[in-house]
Amino acid sequence: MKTQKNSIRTGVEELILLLATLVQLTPLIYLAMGAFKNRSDIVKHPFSLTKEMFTLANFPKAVTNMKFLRSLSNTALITLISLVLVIFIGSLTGFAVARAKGKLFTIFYSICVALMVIPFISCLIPVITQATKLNIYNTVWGCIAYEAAWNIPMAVFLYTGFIRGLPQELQDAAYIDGCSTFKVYSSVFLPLLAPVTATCAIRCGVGMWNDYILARCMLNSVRIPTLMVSIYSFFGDRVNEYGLAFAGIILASLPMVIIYISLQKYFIKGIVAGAVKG
Amino acid sequence: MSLRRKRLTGLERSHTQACRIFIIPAIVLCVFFVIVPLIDVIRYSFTDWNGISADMKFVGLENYKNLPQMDGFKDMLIATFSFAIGMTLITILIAFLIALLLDKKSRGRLPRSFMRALWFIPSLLSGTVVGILWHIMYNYRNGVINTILTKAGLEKVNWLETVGVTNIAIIVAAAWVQIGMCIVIFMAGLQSIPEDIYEAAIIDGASEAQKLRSITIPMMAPSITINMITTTIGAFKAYELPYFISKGMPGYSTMLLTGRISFYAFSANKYGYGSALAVVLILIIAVFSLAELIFLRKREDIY
Amino acid sequence: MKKAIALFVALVLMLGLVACAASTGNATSATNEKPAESKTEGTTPKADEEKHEDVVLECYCVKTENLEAWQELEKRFEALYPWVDIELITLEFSSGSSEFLTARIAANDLPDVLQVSQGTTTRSLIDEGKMDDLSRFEVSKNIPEVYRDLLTYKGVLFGLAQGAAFATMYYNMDILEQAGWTTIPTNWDELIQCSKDVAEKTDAAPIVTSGQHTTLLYFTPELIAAQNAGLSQNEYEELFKDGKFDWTAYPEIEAKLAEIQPYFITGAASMVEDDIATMMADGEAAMALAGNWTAASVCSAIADAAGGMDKVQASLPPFNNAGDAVWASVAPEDGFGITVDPNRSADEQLALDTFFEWLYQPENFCVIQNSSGSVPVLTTLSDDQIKLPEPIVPVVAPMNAASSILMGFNIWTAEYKSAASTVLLDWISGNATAEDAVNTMWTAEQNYYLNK
Repeated sequence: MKTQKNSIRTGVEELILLLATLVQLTPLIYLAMGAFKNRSDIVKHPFSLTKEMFTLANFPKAVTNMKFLRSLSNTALITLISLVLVIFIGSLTGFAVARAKGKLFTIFYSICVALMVIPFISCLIPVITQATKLNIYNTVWGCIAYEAAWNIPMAVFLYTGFIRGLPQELQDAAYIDGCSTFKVYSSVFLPLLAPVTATCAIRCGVGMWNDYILARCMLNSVRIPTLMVSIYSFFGDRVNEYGLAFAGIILASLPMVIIYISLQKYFIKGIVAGAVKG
Repeated sequence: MSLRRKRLTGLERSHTQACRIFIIPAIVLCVFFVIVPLIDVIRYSFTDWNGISADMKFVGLENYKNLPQMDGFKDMLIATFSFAIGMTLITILIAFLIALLLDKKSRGRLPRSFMRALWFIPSLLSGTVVGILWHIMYNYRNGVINTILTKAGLEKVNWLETVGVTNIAIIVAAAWVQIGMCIVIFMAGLQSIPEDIYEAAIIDGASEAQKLRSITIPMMAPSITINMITTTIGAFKAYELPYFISKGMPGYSTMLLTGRISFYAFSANKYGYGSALAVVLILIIAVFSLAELIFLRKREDIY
Repeated sequence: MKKAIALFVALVLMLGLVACAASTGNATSATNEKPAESKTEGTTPKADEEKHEDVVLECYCVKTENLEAWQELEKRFEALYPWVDIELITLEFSSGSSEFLTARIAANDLPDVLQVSQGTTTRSLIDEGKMDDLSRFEVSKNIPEVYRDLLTYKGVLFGLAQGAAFATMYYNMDILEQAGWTTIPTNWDELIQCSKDVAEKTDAAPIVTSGQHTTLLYFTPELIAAQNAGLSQNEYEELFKDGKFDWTAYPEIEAKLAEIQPYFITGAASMVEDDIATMMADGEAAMALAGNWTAASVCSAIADAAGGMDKVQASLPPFNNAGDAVWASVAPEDGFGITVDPNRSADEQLALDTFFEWLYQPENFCVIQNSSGSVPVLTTLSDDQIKLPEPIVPVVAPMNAASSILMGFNIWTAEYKSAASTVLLDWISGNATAEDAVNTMWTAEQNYYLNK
């Protein structure tokens, strides 16, 4: 009797979940199907994909218009190097803030949290002026410097939260063994940080990968195109070619999706231990 | 003082010393590339700089005093706050429910971790992309949402040109992105609740609703806090997504503060005025999220 | 854990490597890549007879529908002058073009050739002495004086117009016939009657236009003002420039704005310019109030829906009262100008001047001209170089003959434009009455005149 009631309950719950997931996925399905159709078919038959409508033409066209490979390599380069910087500096700082006592560290941590709320758009012009003075305007390195700096507060926040949750004994034992502080960080703590690193990589990486305004204003879009800048050749005042735009969106976002799915397990663990306790 | 204690104090001192060195790279980067531009913005907000000219005049608090005189100032505040609050509430509510359903450790027939990944995918898209996608979907004549409504026998809705409805439209699109992130954090919170608390509750004969109210929600308080704060901050900072969907229409009813900053700083060539607006936005976010944090932490303590 | 990180790093590296490899492979076809430094001081004279250093010219144009035309011109010019590399930057207004320009100004890195309008940014640039006076170019004499005057500020001719923009009404005769109209409406009353018939007898909406395209949005009120305020030619723009055109003083304007509003397609306010062609292609609307510059795409869209170019007609918008002559609205389309940069080398300046002069030669300029289908202003273009879309041809003569009103909104401050656009969008979407519209426009005109 009770198990029967329970199984009905589970059934209802699963049905609700399934329906909700379907609703959530509707835009994605629409997007994915649209990439293989032309505009009039997208409008007339949004959720069907028959043989007659099916076309692969959008993808090669999107690849050429976006200068896909060059854009991808630039975006990957900027994201990767900034991310390595953010992860290294973030974890080192997180370790220091979580494991040292003193006003300096508390103040620094509060400043980091405060910096997380600043919208980048408001600082755009000072950033460009500064980059010009520093001679890093219109270089990949300039872009990397700002991407990294603007993501460090978030990384410090995540790492500090995670490291605070690790036992104090780890560090004491290592010191008694005569390790240097950097050694404690690099060989005792660093190996334990994989989950929060995955979290940090996804959360900061998504922002860097999807950045439009900095790349647009800092880099010359002809010499150093990035994905989000190139994808604009389909957007703006004219979005007539829905199919082409959808194909472009898929091409530009797919790498992130693949990386997320492959990192998912660690990402979740990192959130458990890091963000929640932070 | 024992020898051992002395040794530890010495170690601690050198540890703190080393840690001071460790935070230098972060301090340098943040001060140089974030705080210096930020100070510039604050400086510009006291001038009449147009963003182009080489010279500017110090005008004191003039820009701040003139803020309320801008077209649609009240609408802008209402739009910004209703967007932030509405988006936060809807996101948290839906994400919480979905996380509960996804978490059911029951022998489900559904591929739950795959479904969780699906829920997360929108969070990987850029704000502009999502904005343009939803703008296309909200189109009155040929948008897919109205097509679905018509097929279901309902009336078409003019999503982008009806006061109030458009506010909901941008909230829905923004929530669509944010829900995935919140679910992940909620599920993490759910997994950290020890199973035996529930078992004890079942032995005491607690109903599902009681379990939810007196175990799950209190235990989830930290995840609720973190989700609320990050979602609110994200909502206040949102720029491309709402702008590309509604362009601030109808009237000024969906024109957010960020959209106004961009208008004054870049289109109207009033960089000083736009900077003043940006400073106000930063203050609003700071105050709002701090208040939220204090309130939520207090709730956490009550539980 | 290590495995995951290794996997992640490997994946990204792989992506990057594949991409790099592929892009170097592409480089052979995708022109010779030049490092950024070559622009400033690349003192490597090429071993051709003229001995010029390699030069990169940056060209910024807003309209991406002209992209293919520009690429064609880029190819031609680079073939003629191998030492010059043209870099095209195209960006739509709504995709952060103002952020882009402001940032470029901050970095002191303005593109060499710039698409310019009458807006405040251009004026500030001229105030700073950053725009070159184009009257030193031979080709500037081939632009009619009226268009030169429109793009002159403080005595500086800062842009050469690429064409004339005027409001055009396009008709899908197939739908009009279903509504009982075999000929197009010729005056206001007929237009209203025709719209009414379309609304009642067909599934299509009467008129489509794009609210998100500012110029298109202003066509209706400005043309109604021209026809009904009893103004002589040029009077409106003179009054308007001085902040003295009182929208509320003419009850006719308000009445007509109210009369036509219900016949705009639902959703017109949120539509972008492209949606006009889309709607016409789907047979969703009978008439399109659009610019002549999109004639090519709108006409072919209507032909798609109606089954042939013979079902497409176009005319000046019949906003005239019965018996009155029809007015036209004219605006110079954005022109191109060149920026001042004291750091340019002699060769760079030479390349720039050569390119600009070359660009406005009829055999080259007709490429841009024909890609949009706008009415040419360059007087040296010969008839066989101009290929207008067929339905627009009969409109050109009446347009040249008609009294015309200059589109005034473009010359105002961004704040005025924003205030007026907002209320007009509300009017077109039914969120504000015509009375609100005229009142707000008049108030805004007075407010911002003081700050102009």
